Order: sequence, then C-alpha cells, then structure tokens
Amino acid sequence: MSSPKPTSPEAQGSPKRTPASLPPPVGLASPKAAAAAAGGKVDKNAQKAAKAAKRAAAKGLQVGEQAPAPVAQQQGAKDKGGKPAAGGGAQATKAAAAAQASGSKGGEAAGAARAGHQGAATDNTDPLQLFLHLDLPSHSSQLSHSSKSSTSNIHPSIIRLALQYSEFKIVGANARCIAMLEALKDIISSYTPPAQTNLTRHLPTTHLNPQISHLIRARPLSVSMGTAIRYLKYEISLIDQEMDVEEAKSLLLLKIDSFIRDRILLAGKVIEQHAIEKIQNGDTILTYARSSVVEGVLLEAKKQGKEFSVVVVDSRPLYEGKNLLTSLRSASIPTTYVLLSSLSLILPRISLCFLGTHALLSNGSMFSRAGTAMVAMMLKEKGVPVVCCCETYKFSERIMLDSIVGNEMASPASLLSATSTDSTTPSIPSTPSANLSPLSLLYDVSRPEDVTVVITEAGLIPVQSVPVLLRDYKPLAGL
Amino acid sequence: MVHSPARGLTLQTLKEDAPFDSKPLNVVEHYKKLLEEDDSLSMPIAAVETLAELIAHSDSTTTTTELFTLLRTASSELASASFNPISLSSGTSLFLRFLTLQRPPPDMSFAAFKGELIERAREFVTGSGRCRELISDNMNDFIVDGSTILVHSYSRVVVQALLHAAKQKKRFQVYVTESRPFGLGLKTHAILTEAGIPTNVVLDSAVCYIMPKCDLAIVGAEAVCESGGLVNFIGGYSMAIAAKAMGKPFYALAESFKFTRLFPLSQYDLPSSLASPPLSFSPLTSSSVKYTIPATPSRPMIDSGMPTPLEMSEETLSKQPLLDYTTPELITLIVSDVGCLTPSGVVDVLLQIYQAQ
Repeated sequence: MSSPKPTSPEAQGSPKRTPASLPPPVGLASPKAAAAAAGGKVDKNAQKAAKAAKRAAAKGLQVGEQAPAPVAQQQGAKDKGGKPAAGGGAQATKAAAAAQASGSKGGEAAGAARAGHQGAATDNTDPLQLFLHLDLPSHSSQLSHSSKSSTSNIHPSIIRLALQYSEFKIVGANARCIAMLEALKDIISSYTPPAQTNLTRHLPTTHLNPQISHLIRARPLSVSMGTAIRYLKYEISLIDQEMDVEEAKSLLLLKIDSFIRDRILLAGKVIEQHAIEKIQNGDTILTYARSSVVEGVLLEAKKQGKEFSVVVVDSRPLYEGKNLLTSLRSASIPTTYVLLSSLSLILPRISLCFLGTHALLSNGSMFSRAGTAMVAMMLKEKGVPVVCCCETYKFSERIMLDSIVGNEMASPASLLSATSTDSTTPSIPSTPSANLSPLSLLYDVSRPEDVTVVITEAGLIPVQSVPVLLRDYKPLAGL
Repeated sequence: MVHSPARGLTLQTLKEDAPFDSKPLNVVEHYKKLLEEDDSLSMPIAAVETLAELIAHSDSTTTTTELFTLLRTASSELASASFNPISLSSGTSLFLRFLTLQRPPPDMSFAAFKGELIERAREFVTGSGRCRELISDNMNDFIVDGSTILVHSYSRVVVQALLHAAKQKKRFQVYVTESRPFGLGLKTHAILTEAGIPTNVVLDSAVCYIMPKCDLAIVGAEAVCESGGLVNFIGGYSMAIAAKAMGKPFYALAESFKFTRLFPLSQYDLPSSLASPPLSFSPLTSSSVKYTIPATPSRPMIDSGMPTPLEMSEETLSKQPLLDYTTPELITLIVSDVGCLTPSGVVDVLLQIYQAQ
C-alpha cells in the first residue's frame, strides 16, 4: 500500500486500542443509530470506520477535498431513519460516528478519520463495500525494527520472516509453513525460560504467541501454518514439567523436524507416486499458477519416463507460473504457457488437470490461489478430470461458503503498476485514486463438485470424504 | 511355477489328506478350476480361496516375509492371467491386508501359524455367502409392492435379492437387459421366470426406451471403487446415465469384499491385462481384404418375417470393451452387507479396512 499520507496507521490503531474511551456518538446521528452504536458494538464500528479510513487514505484523498462532514452526517442520519438494521446507510452512519469519535484524538488522526468518513459516506457506490472486513496488507516498514510498534520482544528470525511474507518473497502454503517452522526452531534453540516459570507453561503462550501474532501482521496465517503451530503447542504440552530445559528443547527441535519430514516432504513424495499413476503417456496436463506438489509430480513423472506435455496457466499480478515454467523447462518437459484469459482456447487439448491448493476445506472446496475455482469449473464442464494434490496437513475443519468472508487482500498497487513499456497503453496512475478502486484478492473457493479426486498421502479420496480423513487420519499424535 | 494340476486328486482329498503338500500349486489353474466348479463363487472369494490353498502348499516358506512375497507374486500372477483383474484383485489385496496385520505368536510354530491363516481364510470364504443374505435384507425396503425394476445383466447378488423379495409375496416385474455380447441377461431372465417373477428381456439399446416405465434400476458390481463409483459389466454406465436423466433411483448391490482401493478418473483409467485398449483402430491395410456391402436388414411389412441380423465378426467382437466405470454422482445408494452407503461412504469403509493402525 503506498499511502500518500502517514495517517493511516494512526487511524487504524487508535480506535482499536481505545474502544472504551470513545465518547458516545449521540449528537452525531439519530438516537437509534446511537443505540446501535453503543455498548459492545462500538468496537466493531470503530474498526469498520478505521478500515474505511485506511482505504480512503489509500485512495489518495486529501483532507482538503473532503465534503463537509455535516452533510454526510445528515445523509447518514436520513438513511438511518426507521431502519435500525445494518444497511448501506446504517453502516455509513456508524462509521461516520465512530470515525468522528476517533478523530477527536486530534491532528493527523482527524484527517484520516474524515477521510474514512468520506469513504463510509459514499458506501452505497463503493464497489469494495463487500470487502471492508479484509485488511490491506501491512507495509513492510511497519514490520521492521524501526517501526514504532513494539517489536522489542520479537525474535529476529520472525522479523525477517514477516518481512519476507509481506513482500511475497516466500509464497505458497508449504514454503511458508517450512520457513515458519525453521524460524520457530531458531526461537526454541535460543530460548531460556525465565525464573519462576517453566518451559511448558511459558513457551507456548507468553513467548510464542507474540511471535506468531507478528507473523499474522504480515499476512494472515495459512491453514498449513495453523496446523503446524497446533502440533508444536501440543508437543510442548506433552513435555514433562520436570524435564531438563536443554533436553526438552532438543526434543522439540526433533519434533519440528519430524513434522517437516513426515507431514510435508514425505507426504509430497507419496502424493507424487499416487499422481504419477494417473498420468498416461500422451497426456496434456494443465496446471494453474504454481504448486510445489504439482511441480514435484510433473518433474518426477518425467524422471520416471512418462511422456506428456504441460500447459501452465498463469495470471496477474503474481505470475507464479513463471517459476514453474523455469523448472519444467530445465527438465525439458514440453510446456505451453498461457494466461488465465486464454484458458478457453487451450481447453480442447487438455486431458488431465493437476491443481495444488492452499487449504482443503471440510466440505471439499479448495481454498486456493485466485483463479483456481475458474480453472476447475471450466475443466469439469469440459469433462476433464480435475485432480487436487493436497497433503493432509492442509486439510481444514472450516467451511467457506464464498470467497468473500475469509479471503486475503493484496496491495492493489501491483494491479495498476505498468507491466510493459508499450507506449500505446494508456497510462494509469500506479496508485489508486478517488474514482478507482482496484481489488486484488489472493484466494478463491472452488466448488467441491468440480474436483474429481483428491490425492493425499493417505491415498486417493473423493472430495466428499475429506471429513473422514480429518476424523480418522492421525499420522502424528495430537492432530 | 511348475504346473501340476492336482494329479487326479480332488480338492477335498487335498485338504483332508495333505494339508501341507510340498508340491507347488499352480494358482492360475486352481483359481480357474474353482470358478468352473462352483457357479455361485464370485471372483474375489475364489482368489482368497486360491491364496489359502497356496499357503497350504507352501512348505518351504518359514518366515512371514517369505510368505508375503509368495502371496504377492501369486496375486500378480493371477491378475495378469485373468481377463478382469479388477474384481479378483479386490480379493487378493484384502487377503494381503489381513496378512500384514497378523503376527505369529511367539509360542506357535510357523506351520501352525500358517494353519491358523488357512483356517481364517476358509472361514472368510464360507462366511462370504452370508453377505448376500444381508444385502437381500438391506435391499428389501427399496423393493416395494407393485414396482417395476430394471436390472442389468446377471449378478448373483441382484438375483438373490429379487428372489428374496419375491419370497415375501411382493409383487413386482422386472426388465433385464440382454447384456451383449455374452447374453448374461438371459440367465437372469430364466432364473426369475422360473421363480414366477414376470420378467422381460430388453435390448441393451432399449434401456432409455424402457427407463420411464421403471421405478428403480438395480445393478450388481464387479468392483466398487474408492470414488464410490462402480466397475460393471458393459452397459452399466449408460443405464446409470439414463436413470439419472429420468430421475429414477439407481441402486448398486455389492458385497463389501468387492470394495477396492481403485480410483479411476475416467473410463479409460481402469487396469486391464489386455495388450491393447478396447476398440483401438487397426492400422489401415491395403485393399487385399474385400468387403461385401450387405443388404439392409428390414421388416417393411407386418407379415414379413424377421430379417437376418448382421453379426459382428469374431475380431470386431473381441475388440469390444467388457467393463465400464459408473461415476459416483449417478449412483443413489450402494447396498452392501455393511449397510446402505452413499457413494462417498465407501471411502469410510475402505479406510477402516486399509488404514487401521
């Protein structure tokens, strides 16, 4: 996010930090709105306003450009009349009220709050209204040591990792999980429990939790990382209180290594073996973006002498498929590279489709890189078997009905940045502006019925049986 | 393995007189003989029986690993020799799985352990007959008085379920497909007609024509796949599609030993021991073979006789596929001895067998 004003962190921080100190916004809106905004809901509203403020700030609105606040307030109040339920207007009112409240902090924050006010007041036309609950990614400057936020207790490995996450230097569920576990190993090896407490009690909560929250500030936790953290905490809880600290530490390091080996690396190898059996000579295999598992499958299949060609479908702005392309090229696998927009043209040639996934939800939906749902849907419609390759540690007990609620937002700037030096392309400012709301979402949820088979290290299963594996498959204790 | 077709000994005398015969057993021949002798024996059961017999003949093996290797080679030998390796291998892999979970107790000689294994296998073989009774019971609720049932080909368990229903004085009528090229439907027709159930044979190509008149469709299965789909005698898939299109429930009857860890992605993803896939085109030869274009068989007048149908040549017939794969979304329920399962429930059962720690 390239905010023109440094106000957004303030606006984001202040209402969240001091929800209790908010003055009741009675004078600002109708009594009903005040009642709605009072009590436990204040916090929520304040957050909403803060996000709107942040977004508005991202749009590059100047404080001077704002419409006079009272007008918008009236608008909000009018909308609110007789409609206690949350709607566009109601939301605007609440946001305005809360933003105004936070604005009383003074100076810069007021500007941001007013910006937020503007954003909230124009809610009815804001195309991003559906995504107000999603956070824009934190800028890397907020995650480093120099940031004002407290990073004093954060381990250097974690700070480095958070920066790598936020700059998309480490992407992909497996890579992120392995990198996190390596960082956690650093933490554990340099850890000594303070006096009057012991490792079992201190390490998982007081020591690890702030580190993990710092990672979450960079990017939301992936399902794979969640599983790994749960596993680690479970293993910590099993450690005998009397055990020597050094011994306990080396035991934990061993456990982390075995998790990486058994649940990620070996699982990937087993999946490769299963998947290769499904590749027939002469197949044209389509894959989307880049999945480490699928890449492993294709390379291993070539090594085992299968004759096939690959179509890599890619999309902006991450262009992850290019990495896959490089490794397929070096393995001399005949490969075609197309963008998602040309998918329908390449479709008649495809005989098999391998997709990796970020997480597999318990209703069988893939939660995967944005665009996967479209690929799966089109191939299923065409009658091509859609094979999902997923280690069991990426299985999630959650269900998502849409891609809106639990998605992750990427910086919209990357969508607008020029990709070619072609002078004929009309120049678009590389930052979002008042009448331009770019939206860059990282994930989507595919329909379960589009996936023919899920290949896991426990075998090939239909998507409907994901809950069966979630329930029964316990390769390591505690998961 | 050296061939010694039991040398005039019957199976019974082998079992009684020489439980540990030192002569190596020709598994393929034995398996073939079992299937020929007993018409009611299904392939997986015959395979288990064969493996049990092999243990009885395996005097030389003294460790579980040795025994396991022996059985594994025998299984693959059977699979490569049989025309339909799918249904047989569900039996052999079940037996091998059972074996991996067995450890010889320390106080037991290995010969005694093998005797125990044979005992257990034979128990399984005799117990398997009970599966069909359980399925008949489970299927009972789905056959209601006055219904019309479409049946595909010949399946022992389907026939038994229908006879079981008829025995309870349920009135129903059956259409059974002819099931080319072997005409297995005619066998079903004969058995059901003999039992007093009104039965009509329909052409395989008339499945869609007759489907609207039927209340439900029932098929057996060669194997039930991990996907919940069925491997069936050719025509099962088209019947399932027709049933789905016309909103008729489609039930599959299958014993739990037919469940296999196989997950076909398409019709062409089934294991086969044939050299070339069915219906592959032969390379165009020069015009040395002369084709005579036959007259059109027709029956123009009401009083004209039935025309002589054109027949496939032996070669064309041998190129035909005999099995197809019914995809899980077309199946209403799989009625088995472990209960009535939705297609996705099959994995649950399979994981219970194959994932048990």
